[in-house]
Formats: sequence, C-alpha cells, structure tokens
Amino acid sequence: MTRRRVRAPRGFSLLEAIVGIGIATALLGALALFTVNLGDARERLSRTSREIECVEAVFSAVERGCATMVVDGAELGAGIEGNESGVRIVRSAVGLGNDGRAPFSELTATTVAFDAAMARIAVTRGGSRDVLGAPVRAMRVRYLTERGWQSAFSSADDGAFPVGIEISVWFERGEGGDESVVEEAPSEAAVAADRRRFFRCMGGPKVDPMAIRSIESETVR
Amino acid sequence: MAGITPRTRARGHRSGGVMLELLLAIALFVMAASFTLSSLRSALDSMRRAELRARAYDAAASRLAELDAGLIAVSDLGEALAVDGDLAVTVEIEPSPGSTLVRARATVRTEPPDGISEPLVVAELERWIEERERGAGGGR
Repeated sequence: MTRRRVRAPRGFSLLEAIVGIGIATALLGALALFTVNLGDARERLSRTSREIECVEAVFSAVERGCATMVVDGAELGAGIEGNESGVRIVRSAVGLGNDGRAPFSELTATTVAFDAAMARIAVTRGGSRDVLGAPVRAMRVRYLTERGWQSAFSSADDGAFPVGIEISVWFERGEGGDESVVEEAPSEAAVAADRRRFFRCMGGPKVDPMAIRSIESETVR
Repeated sequence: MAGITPRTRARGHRSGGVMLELLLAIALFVMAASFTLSSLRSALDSMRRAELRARAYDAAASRLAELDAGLIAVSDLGEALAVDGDLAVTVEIEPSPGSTLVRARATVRTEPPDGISEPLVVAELERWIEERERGAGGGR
C-alpha cells in the first residue's frame, strides 16, 4: 500500500499525456487562428482607411478645382483639360493681393492623374506632387459637355468649361473574383466603380434641355 | 517513512495546482483573444460604416450636381434612384419665393442590416440650385 503510494506519482499516465497533448493542440490552433484573424483584420482596416483617404484627397482636389477654375490661365493653360485617366484644372487660388494684383488672382494648377505603372493616383497641386497610398486598379474621368459625355476635353479648344466631370475609381483588391475584369478597359467593365462622383463645374454651361434625353440614356449604368 | 508522507502530499497538491494554473492561463488567454478580436471587429464595422457613408455622400453630391447641371429636371425628381444597388437617393425640392433658386435636399438611404423595417439614412446634403424647368429655353 505504502509502496504503491510512493511509486504512483512518477511519470504521466497515458490519459494524462493524451489530455495534455489535446490541450496543447487546441491552444496552438486557437493561437494560429487568432494570429491569422488579427493580421487579416488589421490589413483590411488599414487598406480601407487608405482607400477612403485617397478618394477624399482626389475628390476634394477636384471639387475645389471645379468651384474656382478659370477659363484662361495664360501661361498655365486653359481651365480644364484632360483625358480618360487624368485631368488638369487651372484655378484661382487665394492670393493676398500683394504686388498690385487683385486678391484671389493668383492661379495654380491642380492635376489628378492615374499612374497605371504604379497603380496609384497622383495629385499635383502647384509644384508638389502627392502619390496617394491606396492601390488603384483604374480611374476614369468623363467630361459632360452640352453635346454629351466625352472621354477627353480641353478648355483651350472649346473656349469654355464642361458642364461637369465625373470621376470613377476602382480599387485594387486582391480577393479574386474581380480578376476577370480587363484591366485596361474599366469603362467597359460591368463592375460598378468602388467610388464615383459627378462634379458640377461652376460657371460652366448647363445641358441643353433638348439634348437631355440622349445624354440620359448614355448616363444609365 | 515519517518524512515521505508530507512530501508525497505536497507533490500531489502541487500537481493539482499546475492543472489549476493551466486552466486559469487558458481562460485568461481566451478572454484576451476574444476581447482583442471583438474590438477589432467593431473597428472593422465602423470602417465599413465610414465607407458606406462616404459612398452615400458621393451619391448625394453627384445627384445634386446632376440636378444643377440640368441632367435631371426638377419635374423628374419624384422617384428614388437606385445607386450601387444598396443605396437609394431621393431629392426634395423647396422653392424659395421671389427667387429662381431652390433648396435641394438629397437624402441617401440604405437597406437596414437586419430586422429593422425602416431604411437607414446614411447621408444628407443640402444645396441651393438654380431652377430651370425643362423646355424653358436653352441658354446658359
């Protein structure tokens, strides 16, 4: 009796070992799951915030441009010119009225352009160029004129502003499923843009009422 | 013999303590993990809401800009326009007497997540717009 009691605690019984291994496995599994979840969530969080930030930068730059642009910027060029992947807006900035100039008379150019090689959007204000952090698959700029939607526009040629411009952004999302979309032709893609906004150009013409119907049918997405 | 019994008892007590400590550690780990994950999930949720709100603001601003551009006539504003599938924009017009300006208010609603029957208002935007009825002459 006494001998058994002394010998019993040495080593582990099979049951104890199995239970121990089971607990360790469950713990390791939970830890792995936790780590994966954590990394996943953090990655999604930072990506979403970068996307929101990027589009806000683009849209606010264009909105400000559309509100204060000028048709003839002398050496800077004309009010709005651009094509499908980028737009350049010459606008009046806040000048302090020094050197005999009128206040608000200083001009600056804002450029929003999609760089396909880098898969990023770059915003240039004056001399400083910001490359925005969110990976972008495509950006499309469309110009609404009195005659309808166009993929390129130049105030120098038209001598006027467009009615408005529309900017659509598709983000690069590495989740698959979207991979079927042809990268070079987002305008033909059936996938709706992740972000899209239409900007009214202040001081631009309005759409000719007679032309509305035909333009509307083009607008339908 | 007299020295063995206390030692054996002490060891038996000790091994029970190890089990207790292990269970405690697991419980603490699970609590910490679930707390971290739930806080991350709520952060993700709020981020998704922020994204939805941003898209809703896009929709409202675009609709008002289209109205201002003459793409939509004021008389066409009756029905809600579905944007992006889950967002619906409605525009209400409030004329101001003695002026050609109207106050346009865009409201963006989305389908409620679950259970709630009322659609959720995600964004509201108000802007003064110069009214021009369809067929009231072209011009700028």
